[in-house]
Amino acid sequence: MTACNPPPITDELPISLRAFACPVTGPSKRYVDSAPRLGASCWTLIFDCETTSDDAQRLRFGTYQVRESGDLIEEGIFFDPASVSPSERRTLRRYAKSKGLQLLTSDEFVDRIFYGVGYRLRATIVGFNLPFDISRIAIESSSARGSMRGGFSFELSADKRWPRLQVKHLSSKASIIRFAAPFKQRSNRSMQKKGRKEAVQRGYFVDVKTLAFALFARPFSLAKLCDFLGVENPKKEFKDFERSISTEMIDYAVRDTQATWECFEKLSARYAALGLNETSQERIYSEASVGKACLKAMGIVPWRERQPDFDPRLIGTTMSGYFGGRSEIGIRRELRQVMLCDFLSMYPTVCTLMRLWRFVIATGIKSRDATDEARALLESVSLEELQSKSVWQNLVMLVRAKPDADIFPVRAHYNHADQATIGLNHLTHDGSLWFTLADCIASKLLTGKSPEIIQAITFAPKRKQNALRKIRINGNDDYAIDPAKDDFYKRLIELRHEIKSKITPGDSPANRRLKTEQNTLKIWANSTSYGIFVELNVEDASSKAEVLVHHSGDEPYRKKPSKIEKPGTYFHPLLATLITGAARLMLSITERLAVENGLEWSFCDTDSMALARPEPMGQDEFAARVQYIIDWFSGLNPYAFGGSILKSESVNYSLDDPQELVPLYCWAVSAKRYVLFNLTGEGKPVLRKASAHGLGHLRAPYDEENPAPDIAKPRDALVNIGVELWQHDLWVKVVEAALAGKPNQVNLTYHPNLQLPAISRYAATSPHLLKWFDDHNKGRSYADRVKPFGFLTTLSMKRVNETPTILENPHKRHPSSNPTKPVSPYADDPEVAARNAFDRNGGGAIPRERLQSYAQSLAQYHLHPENKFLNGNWLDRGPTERRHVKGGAIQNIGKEANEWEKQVMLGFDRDAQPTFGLSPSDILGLQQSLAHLLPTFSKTAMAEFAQLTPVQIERFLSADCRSAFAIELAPKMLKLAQHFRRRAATERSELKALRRRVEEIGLRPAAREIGCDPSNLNRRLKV
Amino acid sequence: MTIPDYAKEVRKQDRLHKLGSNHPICGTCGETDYRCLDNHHPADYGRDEATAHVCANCHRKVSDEQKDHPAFDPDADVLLDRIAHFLLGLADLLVLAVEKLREFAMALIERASPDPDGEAQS
Repeated sequence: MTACNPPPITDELPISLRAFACPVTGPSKRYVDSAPRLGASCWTLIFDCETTSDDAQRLRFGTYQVRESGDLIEEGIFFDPASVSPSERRTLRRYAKSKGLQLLTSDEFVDRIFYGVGYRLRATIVGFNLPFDISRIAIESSSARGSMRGGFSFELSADKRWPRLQVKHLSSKASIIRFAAPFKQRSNRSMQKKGRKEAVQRGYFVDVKTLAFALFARPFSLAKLCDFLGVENPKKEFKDFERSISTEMIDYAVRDTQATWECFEKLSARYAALGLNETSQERIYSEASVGKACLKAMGIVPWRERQPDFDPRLIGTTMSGYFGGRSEIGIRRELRQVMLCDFLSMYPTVCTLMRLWRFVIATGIKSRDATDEARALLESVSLEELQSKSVWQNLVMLVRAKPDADIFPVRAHYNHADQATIGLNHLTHDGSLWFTLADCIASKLLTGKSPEIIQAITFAPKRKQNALRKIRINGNDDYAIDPAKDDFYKRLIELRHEIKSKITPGDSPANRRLKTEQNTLKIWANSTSYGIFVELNVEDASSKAEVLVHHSGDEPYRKKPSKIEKPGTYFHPLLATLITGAARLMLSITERLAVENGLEWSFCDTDSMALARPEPMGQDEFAARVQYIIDWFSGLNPYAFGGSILKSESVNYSLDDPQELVPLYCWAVSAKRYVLFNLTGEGKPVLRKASAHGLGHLRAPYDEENPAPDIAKPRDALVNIGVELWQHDLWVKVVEAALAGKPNQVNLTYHPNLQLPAISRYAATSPHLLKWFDDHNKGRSYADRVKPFGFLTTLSMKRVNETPTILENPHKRHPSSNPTKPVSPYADDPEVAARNAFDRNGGGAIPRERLQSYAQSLAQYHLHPENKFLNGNWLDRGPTERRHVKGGAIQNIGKEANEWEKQVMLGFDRDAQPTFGLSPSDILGLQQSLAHLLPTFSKTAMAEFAQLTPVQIERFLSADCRSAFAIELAPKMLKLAQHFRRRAATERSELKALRRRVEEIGLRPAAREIGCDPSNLNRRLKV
Repeated sequence: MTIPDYAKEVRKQDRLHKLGSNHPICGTCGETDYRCLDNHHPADYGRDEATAHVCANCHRKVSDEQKDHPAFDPDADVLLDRIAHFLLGLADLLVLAVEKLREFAMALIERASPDPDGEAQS
């Protein structure tokens, strides 16, 4: 990709910008910390369920432990009498007696243990994948209401004394679990007289899967977690679940509960070592929770609480300049030698350079105009000056620029894609848009031209908050951080470096402690330096909800959205916007340095870039120039230890000798879809790093026990490469095809299991998903139904497979047909899933032959287009080129990644993203644009395209641009306008070509050529 | 259920829940037995919700002192009145604490003094 003279405009597209929507009824409900919650008692209940392996996954039996202060008080087995045969019951009884365990029915377990200990004794209730186990011991479920709307409410006991249990899915790793209010008066008469209510006892639930993910930032199965933590009694192996309950099966189940307890113990100790005493571990749902707990432990009051009246328009302005990290392909589907370079803790580093910690601990932020300063800085700044740390301190600015072929992050639906993506492209816009100053500097570096600044705002922190507190890692004074005096991010990274340097080879207790400490610091750094500042939680809006949308333009407008966003506790959009802007600048500097040094780049991904060797350059020269670029960043190191903040990654070095540089090759397909590998002497690829992007939703068609016969085992551990075995093998085949000079044709016959129907596993995590099984569940008892959090299997249809719909009356409106979406009750065997597959949109069974196999699903994996750039289409190869986008109307949107996990598994869901439509000024422009198109295209034609009536089109054209009707219809009208503008442009160019032809050969021959009457052609050409 | 004294454990957890602490302690005398600990309102019940843990004996004493606090005045500034009564209640607690401190100090002095045989008592 080159950054010279901008290309001509290649796309005219609406662009999407983030906006900030507040409820109209009043200021957003401020987060108010409730009175300190009483922690759990010294009791712990751990339990686990074993189920049938059919689609109901009903409870067979389970095991539990009750502990007091860690000491085992009671251990037992519980079973469902309805799913256990008399002989199995005898087996259970014999086992329990021989081991001194209690034996209870599931009802007895629920009443005496789950509620008797878990509720009455305020125990911590522990499990692995708790929502699943809870739904197995329940006797009924329904949709939860109120703040748990979107989740489930479970009835566990027929005894009305006991409250229901509510579970709301947050992600595949976390759910909120709590007891509902009991069915009785909570408050005594005295409290009622005072109008007070006793707080509901919500319980204390710790899902070990959740806590492990939050602490280590990676998912674990119970078996892998046992191994990782080195527990004394790891999970056993057992596979014969189809058979009758046996001693071995009960052994396995008892061990599962013990393993869960030991993992919980170790994780609790790890969490305690973080010193985050203000936040109990049952409130830790993710790494972000750890970050928030960290800030809370330091006594930092969230910005939104300290400055609740901060101008929401300025928040809207800030959000409009927010874009995520750069993830792009520079050279597509071309084998290139590269060196992968990675920035040291990118987000904490840019936070340190811009001194953003001052804002986190401030009582608020103040802003002032800085237009002249921004212009002067932009004009004078050079690449060399950017090596100076002092320049970065001045980047705390937002700038309103008038894009004129400048390179900016542009969020748009490139190439008619369903989803908008962000690409660093040339942008021209008639109006002005907000960006960070860092983005403007990046544009100058890449184009040589400074963007025109219309206005700039700089921000400064108000005075420090009082009552900030020191924190200590592991209670160690040597590792204390004083938030009032230290730059928190700087101190974290320095401490981490210091601790890492003390780690010696070997597994001594000292080393283990040091590794734990440095891991703690890594968690703190990752969790406090970005995500929590842009946290927005999306909920379905009630029908009466109305929001005031603050956006990039001047005046906010009202809208009734289908989804609303609630800011997270530490929401601070200024910081999030500045951080990602600065990170993009770092990558742009690297890109510019690469160009200046005659290098190219294959891909970049948020904080890393693969610099590519151009063909004539020798190996040593290449390494030297990459080293030059690495050294360039030494000046920006803000830490006490030396070195550059840009590092050469370990994949650049030999697997056998970490000091020896070896050629590393890259094959990049699209954003986040690439592979890095070495070549053996025989020219065979040895994968070093690969992405599972676009593959992670599929269940592995095979594993290490049944590998592909003709593919060599990976030399490096799969966890280092970053993929599962089958994904590794797919990439090997992609690379082999490229090496053989046939990159479009990847052989997918290397394993028979690739011919099986492709399946994904998901869980029925919401009432909406469970509704798919309404027909299946009709007439069945709760135990026999597909239950909440039960697994389900999704499949895919063959692409050219939809049954054509015959429209009997094409002029009448017809409902848009929903694509077939196959789903099946849980089955790990693709053939079983295929047999039971039905359409979740229509309910009908789906023949096996219409389902897509793994091979078919993966057939175009290696061709996936990079839509945001030119030369990124399916079969294109070589350097991509930046588009030049003429930005049109602005679509104001909310959180882009809402429900991303569900969408990856179940397919893109347009409705998942909060959208706030167009602003009134853009609607006015749209009305004018449509009015302009009317003479060329009839209202009827437009109405037909948009599935509206001509009357609605007419109404829209004459509506007040601020009216609810206009705002509601605007997105549809925008698509309509785009479509007909394209058609108009196409027709104009066709007419132009026709006129030329007529001039060349005459009217009659031209008319004969195209098969029309000469007088008609003449008439048309005169228009 | 094999949890020993389950009913007692339930009562204990209920009591701890009411006290709002898993490890309550009397702020004046150091008593830790949850069975005799109460939530005392220093500013007097109905005036302010802030509570302190005190044992039953100390609670009796400070509650008696509260009876001599100025009576409720409907015309008083609510916030100032509440703060003032809280301070009075805190003072009562501190008086008890000071008494206890003196007792401890005297006991220590006695312990430190040599026994009739010339050696310090241990």
